[in-house]
Amino acid sequence: MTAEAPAIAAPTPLWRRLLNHRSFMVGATLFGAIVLMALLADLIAPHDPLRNNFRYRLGEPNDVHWLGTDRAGRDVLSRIIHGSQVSLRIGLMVVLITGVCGAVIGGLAGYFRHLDNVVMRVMDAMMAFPGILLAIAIAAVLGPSEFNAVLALSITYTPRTARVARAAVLVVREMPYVEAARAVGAGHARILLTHVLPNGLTPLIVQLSYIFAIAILAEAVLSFIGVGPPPPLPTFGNIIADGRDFVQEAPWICLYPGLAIAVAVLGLNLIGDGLRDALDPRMKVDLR
Amino acid sequence: MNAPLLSVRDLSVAFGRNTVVEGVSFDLAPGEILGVVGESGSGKSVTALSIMRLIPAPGRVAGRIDFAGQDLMALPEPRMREIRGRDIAMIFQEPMTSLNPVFTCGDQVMEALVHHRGLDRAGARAEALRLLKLVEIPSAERRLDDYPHQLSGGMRQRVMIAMALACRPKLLLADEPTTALDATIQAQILDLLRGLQRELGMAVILITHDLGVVSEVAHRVLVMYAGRVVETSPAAKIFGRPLHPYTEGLLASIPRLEGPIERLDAIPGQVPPPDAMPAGCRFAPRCRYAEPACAAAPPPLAPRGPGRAAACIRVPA
Repeated sequence: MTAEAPAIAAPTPLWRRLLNHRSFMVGATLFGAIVLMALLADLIAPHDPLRNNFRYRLGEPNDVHWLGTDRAGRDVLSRIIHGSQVSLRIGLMVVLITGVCGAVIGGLAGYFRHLDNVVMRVMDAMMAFPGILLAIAIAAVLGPSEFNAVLALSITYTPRTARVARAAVLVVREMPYVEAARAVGAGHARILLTHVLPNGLTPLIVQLSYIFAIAILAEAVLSFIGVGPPPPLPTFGNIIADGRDFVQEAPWICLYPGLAIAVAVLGLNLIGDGLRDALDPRMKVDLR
Repeated sequence: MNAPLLSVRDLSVAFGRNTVVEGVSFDLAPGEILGVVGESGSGKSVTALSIMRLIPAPGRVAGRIDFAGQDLMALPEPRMREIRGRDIAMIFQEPMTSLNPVFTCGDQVMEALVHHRGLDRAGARAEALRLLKLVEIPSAERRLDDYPHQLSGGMRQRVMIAMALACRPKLLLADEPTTALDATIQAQILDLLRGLQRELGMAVILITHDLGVVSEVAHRVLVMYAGRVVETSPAAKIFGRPLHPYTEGLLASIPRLEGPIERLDAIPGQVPPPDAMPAGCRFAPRCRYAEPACAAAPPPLAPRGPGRAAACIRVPA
C-alpha cells in the first residue's frame, strides 16, 4: 500500500491564475468600469439622456455638460452612461443566445457524427457571408428594434460558437472516461450533460468573451446605419449616428462614445486572452 | 460443467472490409477467471467491447452472445444499458484518463449507485465509502472528495475498480487493467482483483498481452492471434506444455531471471494487417514449424485432451 505515490498538490486555483495575469486584470478593470457605469446609470448620470435643450445645441464640453451636448442639446455624458446599459444588454443577450445555440448545435454535430456533415455545412454557408453584412441584412429585413438587433447578431455569430463547440466535443467524446461512462450504462443525454458539456466548455467560454466584444461593436454598426435599436434610445451606435453630421463642428459627440466602445472592446478582448491562458493547461507560458 | 454464465458463439466483428475478430467461441462459468492473451491487434479488446455491445458505429458484429440466459445481441438498447454497469462491468487500460476530471472520485463512484441501484445521495455516499475501503484505498473518507488529478495512477485504477464493482456485477471485463502501471503496483492490483473475485464470486475476463499476469490470476487461458482463437487451456497446463506454436513463442519471449543471460527468443515478424490476412493458418508466416499444408486452409479449433483445444494441424489430437 505504501508503494503508491502520495497525492500531488492541487494546482493554482483559477481565480489566482487570473489575478496574476496582468493583461486579464487590465481588461477586467476597463470592462468592469463600463459594467459599473451601466449598472449605476440612474444614479451617476448627471442629466436626463432624453431631455432636449434646443437653446444649448452642439454645446462644447463645459462644467455643466462634461462631454458637451448633441444636436438636440442632450447631455452626451448622460447618453453614453445610459447607452452603455443598452449596448451591454444587447451584447449579453447575444452572448447567451449564441452560447446556448452554439453549444447545442455544435455539441450535437460533434457527438452524433451522422448529423455532422449536414449541420456544419449549413454553418459554413452562414459563415461564408461577411459577418456584419449578414447582420445588416437580417436586421434590415426584420426592422429596427432592440430585439431584432439581438436576433440578427445571434444568427450571425452562432456558427462561430457552434464550430468551437463541435471541435471541443470531438476531443472530449473520444476520452476514455466517456467510454467508461458508456460501460456503466449511461445514455446519450447523461453522457452529453455530465461528461461532454463540463469538459468541453472551456474553449466556448473563451470564444464567448470575444463574441461579446464583437457584438458590442456590431450593435454600434447596426445603429450607425439605422437598422439597430431606433433613436432616441441611447446606444453607443445611436449617439455616434446622431453626431456624424457634426463631426467638424462638434467632434465630441462621436469621439466619446467611440472611446467607450474602444474601452469595452479592448477590455473584453484582454479578458478573453486571460481566460484562454488561464483555462488552457497546455499553455503554461507566463504572459505577465 | 454447469450452465455457463457467458457463452460466445462464432463472434465476428468487421470494420468495413476488415474482419478483426473471426469465429471466436468460448464459455465462461460463474466465478471463473478467463485470461485472454495475445499481441496488440489480436482482437482481445474488440471481443470485450462486443460483449458490452459498445463497438463504435461503422463496426458490424455477428454471432451469438448469451449472458445469464439472455441473448445480448437481440436485446433492445435500453435493456442493454441496464445490463452495462449492473450485470457486466468493465475496467480500462488508461487509469489516468478513465475518470472525468471535473468530478470528484466520490461523485463518480456514486453515479452508478444512484443510477442502477436507486440509492439516495447519503446512502450512495456511504456505499461509495465502503467500496473505496473494499479496494483498499487508504484514508478513503478524504479520497471521496478528491479530484482524479490528485490521485496516483494506481489509486485511480482502484477507484475505477470500485466504480466497476458498485453494483456487484456477475461479470467483470478487465481490459489490460495493469498495463499502464508500475510493476509493483501491477502486482497489488492483480492481488486485489483476485481477492475481490473470490469474495464477490464474480466471473472475470482478464485481457492482457502479458502471460505472466495470466499465470498469476487466471483459471483458464484463451490465446488469440489475428482475430482468431488459437488455443484454449487450463492455466496450470498451458505453461508446462503449450499446444500451439504461437503460445510456445509467447512463453519463450518472457524474460527469465535465472539461468545464463541470452538473447530473448522473440517471435519474428508481426501480426499481419487485417486487410492482408493469409488464407490458411494466420500464424503460418511467422511459425517455425510451418509446412505447405498450413497455408491451405484455416485449421479448426479442435479438442486436444481434457479441457484443451488448439487450432494447429501439427498438434496431435
